[in-house]
Amino acid sequence: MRRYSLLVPALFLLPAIGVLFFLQFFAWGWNINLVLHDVTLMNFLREWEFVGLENFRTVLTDARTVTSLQNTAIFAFSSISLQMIIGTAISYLLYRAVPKVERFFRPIVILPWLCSVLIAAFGWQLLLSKDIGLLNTIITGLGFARVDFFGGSTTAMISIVLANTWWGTPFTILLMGSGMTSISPQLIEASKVDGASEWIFFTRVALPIILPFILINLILVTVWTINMFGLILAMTGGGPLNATRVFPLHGYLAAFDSGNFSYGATVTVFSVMINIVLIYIYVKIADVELV
Amino acid sequence: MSEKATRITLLVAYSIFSLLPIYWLTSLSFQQEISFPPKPVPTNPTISHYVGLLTESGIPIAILNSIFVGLSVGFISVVISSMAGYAFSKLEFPGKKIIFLGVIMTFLLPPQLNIVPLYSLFAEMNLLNNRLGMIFLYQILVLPLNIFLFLNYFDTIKEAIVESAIIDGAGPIRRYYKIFIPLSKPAIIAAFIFGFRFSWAEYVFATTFIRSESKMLFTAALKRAVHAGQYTINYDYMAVGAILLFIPTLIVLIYGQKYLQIGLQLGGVD
Repeated sequence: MRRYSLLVPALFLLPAIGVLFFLQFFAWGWNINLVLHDVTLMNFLREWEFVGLENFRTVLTDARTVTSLQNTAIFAFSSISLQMIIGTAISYLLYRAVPKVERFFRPIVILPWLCSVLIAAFGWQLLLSKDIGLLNTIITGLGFARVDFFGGSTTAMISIVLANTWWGTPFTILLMGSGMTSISPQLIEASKVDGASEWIFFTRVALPIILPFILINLILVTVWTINMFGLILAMTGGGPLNATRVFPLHGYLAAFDSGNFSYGATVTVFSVMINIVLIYIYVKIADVELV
Repeated sequence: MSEKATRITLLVAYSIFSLLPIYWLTSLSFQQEISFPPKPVPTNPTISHYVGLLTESGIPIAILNSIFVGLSVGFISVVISSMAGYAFSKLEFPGKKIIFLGVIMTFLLPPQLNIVPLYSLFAEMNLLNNRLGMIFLYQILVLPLNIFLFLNYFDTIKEAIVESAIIDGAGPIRRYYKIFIPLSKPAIIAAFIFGFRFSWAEYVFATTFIRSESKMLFTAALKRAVHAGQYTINYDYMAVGAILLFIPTLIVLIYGQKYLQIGLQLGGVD
């Protein structure tokens, strides 16, 4: 038995951990390689010219980088605020509902989370479309002119925030659910006896109890929102005129649209650094249990 | 309005928001004519748009490709994540904490973060335009979650059962497939559902890593069919395609909810 003590765990771990760490951490190492060279769609599989830190200068002096960071700030701030407020509220409402009501509403509110980004993108594109949208049908029905949501920069940003909020809020609802269970039913009874209104109970009693859960939720949602680009790629492609070109999409489009892989890799370096800081904070605050 | 009525009203309002995109996709997919103004509820519903998309060149093969990839991702992830979960739960080895921290990081990091270096790596390994390459790649979407799932599930299996097996002389490998795997049906089903669900409708990698028509996955082929005309968008294909993508989700929601809930609890997401 004794001499197998290392071989057996290695055998069990290697397939999954090997695949996972290759796709995650080895890829980061490979990414450095791309950053230090000039790699484009043209010389992709041939010799790469070493350029040192030149790519950092290119990315940092590009006006589109600044635009994309601004877009990320607007997109992330609006999405995260909406998602946290609505998600916490709905989670609380589900917690306060009787079991029969809760069982009816839970699958409905969780539904968007089970949908892929493409369903979210197509669904909202068609709801907001100028040619076929339900919203424009209502707008014209009220006597106003049709709105081209994806034609204007502000309305396009609103559209992607709306779609992302729809898609991401169920996650907050799910995660806050476990926070809600730490509010003991006796507290509700006690506040009812005291004659406190629902609002007073929520803000004075419930909120302080679930605050740690909100904090943890906030970090996770922030990580996912600032990295999110699939939905935006499918809905607007970053347009109109880069109005929805968020930071990670900026890197993606540089690599796969303009063929400049080193540029995309350099954007990835910045993203990875931001993410590591956020995850470090998460692991510390959430006090993640290591096996 | 009483407080209870207010609470129900708010839940109903959010439910409408939640269901609206799916409702609209369904409604449009059955409309006779796709033109403005659309009818909120289709009159004379038709399945002609479904027939149209499903007979579009490249679509049937793409659906089969996606089903094949989804099932393979599910199957492989069940095998290898149950092994890793077993090692984390039942075996002792040096470096356990640091390896586990790596798994947590991978779980928290969004998979698309690495798309640029992964594309280059896959090009070097000749795995672009390759369905097997996608099965390999998609493991990153689901392995961390499934490892947590099996780890937590194995933790709940009673020590007494294991001890009697140790007395019987079964080593760690035998214990894994003679005791733990047969006891893990709910975890296996949940892990398989996650594997299929995360890869079946994946969009960003699918449209970037596969370019040739015969190997395309459904999401990529759908995107192409929607933008087939240079200046027009095939709105009917968008609606129909999204509904087709949604069907497995619906099946999971109806039949797999029990397993999904177990999976989410065990995966530590809930």
